[in-house]
Amino acid sequence: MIDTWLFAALCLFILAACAFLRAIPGPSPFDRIIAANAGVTIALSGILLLGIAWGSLVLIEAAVVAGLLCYGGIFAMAHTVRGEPS
Amino acid sequence: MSSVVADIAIWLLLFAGVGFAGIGLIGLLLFPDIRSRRYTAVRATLIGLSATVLAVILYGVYELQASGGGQYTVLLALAILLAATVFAGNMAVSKEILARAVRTDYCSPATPPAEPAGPDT
Repeated sequence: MIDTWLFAALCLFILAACAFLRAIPGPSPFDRIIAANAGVTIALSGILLLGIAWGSLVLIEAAVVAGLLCYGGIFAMAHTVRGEPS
Repeated sequence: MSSVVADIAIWLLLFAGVGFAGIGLIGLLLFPDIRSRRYTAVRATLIGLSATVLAVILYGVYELQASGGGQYTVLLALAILLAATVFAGNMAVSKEILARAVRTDYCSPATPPAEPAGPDT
């Protein structure tokens, strides 16, 4: 029987991939930032569940560090981006 | 709390987490303007993350009571730290996007407001 944590993590990773794919077309830079933000949030949820499924606390620590870096980068992009209205 | 009740609660919370993440993605794909997309994506994914973290906390508390062990305490602390990180990051990015989108008039309505009716000639 498939592990519930692993199945939920897999579903969240698929949703995160869809959100990252949504970031490609845009059309405006803010659309890309919003999609990347949602994708990072969903992917971090998936990493948390993957850490439970694999019994690895290091994975969750890495998720915290990756979250800090990703949100820092997304905030910097949101602060500096300039673009034309879509 | 029996194991069956804990398992059902964890399953329901995981289902809610995946469901709200899906709702956030659907809102990201379907809504027409940036403000509604931002609102739906941020709120729904945060609710999904909250449900996921609640499931992890429930699992950690149950295992801590059942068998003890320091790893479950570390798991609870890491889950709360991850939730705090994601909440703070989402709030900061969301406020920045809202401020800049309003300032650059990204949220203009699809149809311009109707002109006030002038006096009849």
